[in-house]
Amino acid sequence: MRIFCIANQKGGVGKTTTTVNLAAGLAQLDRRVLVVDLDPQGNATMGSGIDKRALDLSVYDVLLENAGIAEVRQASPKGGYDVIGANRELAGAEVELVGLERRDKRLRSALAKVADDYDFVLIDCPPSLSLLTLNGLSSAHGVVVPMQCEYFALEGLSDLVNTIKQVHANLNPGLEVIGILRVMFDPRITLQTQVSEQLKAHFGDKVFDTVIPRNVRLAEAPSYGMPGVAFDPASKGAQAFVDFAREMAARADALRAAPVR
Amino acid sequence: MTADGFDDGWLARIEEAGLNASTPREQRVIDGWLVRLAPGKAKRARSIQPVAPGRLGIDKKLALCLPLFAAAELPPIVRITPFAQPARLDEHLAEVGMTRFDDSLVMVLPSLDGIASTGTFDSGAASLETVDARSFAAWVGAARGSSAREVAAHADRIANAPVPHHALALRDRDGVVVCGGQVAVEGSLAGLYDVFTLGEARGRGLADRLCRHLLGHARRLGASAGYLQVDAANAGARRLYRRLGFRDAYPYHYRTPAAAV
Repeated sequence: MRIFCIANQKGGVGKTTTTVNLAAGLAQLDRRVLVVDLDPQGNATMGSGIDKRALDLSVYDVLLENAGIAEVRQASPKGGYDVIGANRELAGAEVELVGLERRDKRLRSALAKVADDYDFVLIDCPPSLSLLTLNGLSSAHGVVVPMQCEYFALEGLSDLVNTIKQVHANLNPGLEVIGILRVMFDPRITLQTQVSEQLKAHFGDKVFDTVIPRNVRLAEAPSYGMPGVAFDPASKGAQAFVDFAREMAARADALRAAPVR
Repeated sequence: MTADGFDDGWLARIEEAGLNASTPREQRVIDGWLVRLAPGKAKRARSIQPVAPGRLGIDKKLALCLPLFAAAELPPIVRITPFAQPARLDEHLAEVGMTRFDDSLVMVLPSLDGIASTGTFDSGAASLETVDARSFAAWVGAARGSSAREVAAHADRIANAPVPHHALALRDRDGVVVCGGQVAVEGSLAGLYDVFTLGEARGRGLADRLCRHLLGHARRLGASAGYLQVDAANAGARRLYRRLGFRDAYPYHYRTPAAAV
């Protein structure tokens, strides 16, 4: 099982879209995938076709150790993957966790118990450095950073890189940035092309080859409770995410200690 | 037909599912018989499957089929199940001097409800992951001492099978795959295939856990019952499958001209 956080300290950059579409793309490639929604907004939950208002158990119960992942997970009806859902209740977990022991490693312990059930776990982190994000980062093998190619996007990135360095030093020495994914990309906008080039120059092969274009079908899909990959598989956005899933699967294979032999 | 009182119609469906899961590209229909000519190790994909009686009579049919095996440089083999057609085919083949070999069994698990795929192999030390057809065929081929031609045929057959296959591989702490297997899912039926444990890793319950994960995954994909084919002389494997709840359903064997044994 490889665990990846989808993180960026800037909001509205397409984290949730990346999480659910990468999950659906990996599922199409026959990988067993679990999505963990760590954002109290519950957008990844809703975008996977699960009503956040109707959750019996959620990631909140996993963090407070009221329930295990095997009891909390639900199948995304159209996505082909499992989901640990979140809703506003999760915002309270932040406060409740502070007084508890292993507060930043609760998710990691819970995931270890289902290590053989999944090839990939994708954690949708909230856009803040909180105990929730720390639980995500201390569980993960790597971080995937979705980024819009805009000037201020780079500033948010340096904050995130600092956070990751700290987590790497103090909580999780295995953590690394797997790559930066360029999302909502519009090649007609000169500034986006320039920032895209800067990213390549600065981060080299840490920038994924796949670029996710700005695509209206990806934006429409959540209101139908589906990842774009399932909602309109022929759309440019969906196809880009399937390409990205292929690239991720290859990078995850390369991360492993040894090939199949 | 069977001691255990399974419904004949259901067992006939199991037999068909087994045929569908192992369909090679190299298949002809000769007067109601499927003639399979894949150059792999699995005899089910390089033998005559006498599924329908046809009109020509057994000897005329054989006269049409045998040259196809010669042209493919494969020994001619007929697979005899309780469903083989026409009636008395097995007796007839015995009379013309074809030798019986490799007595085998189909075992079935009428319900997957009791199969729980939760829980992990000793966590941290081992990992279970999905592998693609080519990697899986290479691993299981090496484990069984298959030739390069057999491995290529196996990979080709699973990658192009009309029924999707899902392969899992279990790595030990050194990253070496020590146990692997596949499940082929057709509607409600899940077939276990190519379950194998390396000699030095046997006797630790790895295959038992692996099969539970394969069947658990099949269940998530909509399967409700399991089947498998096993060498009747392989007491260890039969014990493993009985522990999982599988029961003997019907026997089958092969016949070949004496010179080819």
